[in-house]
Amino acid sequence: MNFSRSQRSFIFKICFFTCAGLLAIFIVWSLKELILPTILGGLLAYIFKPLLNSFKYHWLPESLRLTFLIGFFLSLLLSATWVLRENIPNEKEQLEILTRVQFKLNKKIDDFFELKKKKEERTFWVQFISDEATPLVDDLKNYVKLSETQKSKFIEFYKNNQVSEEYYQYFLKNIEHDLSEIKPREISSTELSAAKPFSITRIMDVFSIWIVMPLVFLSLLFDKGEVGQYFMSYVPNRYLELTHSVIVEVDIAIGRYLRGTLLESFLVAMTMFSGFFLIGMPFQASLLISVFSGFTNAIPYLGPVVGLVVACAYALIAENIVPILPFLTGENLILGIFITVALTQFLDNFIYQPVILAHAVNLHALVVVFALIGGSTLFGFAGILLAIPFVVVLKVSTETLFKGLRDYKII
Amino acid sequence: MSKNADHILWGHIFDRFLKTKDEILTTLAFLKSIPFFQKLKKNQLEEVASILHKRTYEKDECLFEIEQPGAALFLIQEGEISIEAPNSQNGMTQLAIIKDHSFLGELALLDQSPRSATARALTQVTAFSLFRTELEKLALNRPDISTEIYKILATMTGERLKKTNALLKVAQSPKATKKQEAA
Repeated sequence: MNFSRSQRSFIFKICFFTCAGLLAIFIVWSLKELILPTILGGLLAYIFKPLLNSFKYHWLPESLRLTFLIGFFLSLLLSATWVLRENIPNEKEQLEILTRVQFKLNKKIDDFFELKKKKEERTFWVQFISDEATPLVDDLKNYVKLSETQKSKFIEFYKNNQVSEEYYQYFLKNIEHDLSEIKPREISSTELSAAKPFSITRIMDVFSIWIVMPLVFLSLLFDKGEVGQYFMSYVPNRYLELTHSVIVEVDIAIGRYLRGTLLESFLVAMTMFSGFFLIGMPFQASLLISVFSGFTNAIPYLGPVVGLVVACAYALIAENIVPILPFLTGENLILGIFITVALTQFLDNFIYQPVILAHAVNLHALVVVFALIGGSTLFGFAGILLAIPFVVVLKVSTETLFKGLRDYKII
Repeated sequence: MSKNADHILWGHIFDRFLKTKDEILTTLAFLKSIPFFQKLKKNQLEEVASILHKRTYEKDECLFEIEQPGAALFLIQEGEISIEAPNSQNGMTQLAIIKDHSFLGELALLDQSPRSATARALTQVTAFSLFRTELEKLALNRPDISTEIYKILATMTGERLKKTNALLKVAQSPKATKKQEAA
């Protein structure tokens, strides 16, 4: 069969791009653990780039500017690592937290489902909910129960006077509670892994993956346009202006989305923090939960629920609550949390979002839901986090590309 | 790491954008020869050079075509460009020839209005493109540079307007009208 040169060229291009595409998919799939740190590093660089550019002064030498900024980011990174290391509970603290969580959870479940009463004395609805929720409640209880190894460790800590009497009493009551339950408990794999001591290998595994993030962040932050110029150099002359227009549009859209979302998350976190503080939650817990909720708020629909669940989980184990508002008590903390979260969501939906994200890309609710499900199915947590930015890029680039192709009379 | 080792490791991949010192100096000297950048200092020229895209066009290849939305100014380092517009015989009429150390498409720095002519390479051409959006970004961080560029652009546009007015006056003068009538 004789093919003309243009036909051969077409066949070659089809084969080449198919192979290259398949190879790219294979590489992305194999290195999917690196996707989240890489993209997060890139997105952080994207957010901080305008800040970095605002420090450009003609009287400030470039070397001095870079030294100062690299020093600033390194000290920020070191401080964050130090704060994180200081706040990670050690083995004894982990056991104390688990004991306290188990004790509080048992107490709340017993009170709510009226488990101390006889079956006949319970109200119909409580009995009905109790029957339906039993598997879930059992799973939850098993999740926080100490394994045999953890129990012996706890006793060892108590004998060495490292655990307070209060926690020891919780521990004893938990054992008493466990014995009163009929079902034997199986030790789950999660518990077994929790029983393992904190090893250097485990830290190194996480560290080796996440080291990519600061590397990507710093290299993109201090890039002077070389990366963009490099990729643009491969664009055929005919498509130069078109490609540049698409990149600019995507850049504007993603910039608006990211900076808007960041500001919205910050405002949500601040509102939640004020609410939690007013209902009497301790400063540190209010701050941590509100920052976490603000961060998860960037995930549509799912984020606010996650924030609410975390805050409610804290309410179950909270102790010594001193509310600033007089009508709230430590007992109805959960009600206070619901009111705070509802108020925050109201402010977010009716004030923050319309003002901050007014010029951002509009996505249909169904697209958002499909993107989140698709993202989580393919890439897990990373997929959930990056689904919306990905859809924003896809939507804007498709729209701009087609408009540009028509304007430049390519199609 | 020595320069040679750097080249062996990365040269085959990044040669396109790892510029040598000579190349940077040549680019800066070239920029200095273009009216837009004549008043800029070395550090300002370096800033401008970082947002330029170097391109090579083969003979007969178009830099841009008539009616396409304008997005960039082109600075010609080497080669010759023909500026053409369609004529009544469905062909192209050459309006001008742009030679090296010159520029074209400067109105694209102001807005996205369509190109008024086609620019076609008469020889192999090496050109730098400066995009409007890049200049707008530069205006936020280095207004000292963009002000100079916009000032020269405004002066050029003003001069062209004056020339057009003068040509119009000549065309509307009684002498010219009589000539037209006679023709």
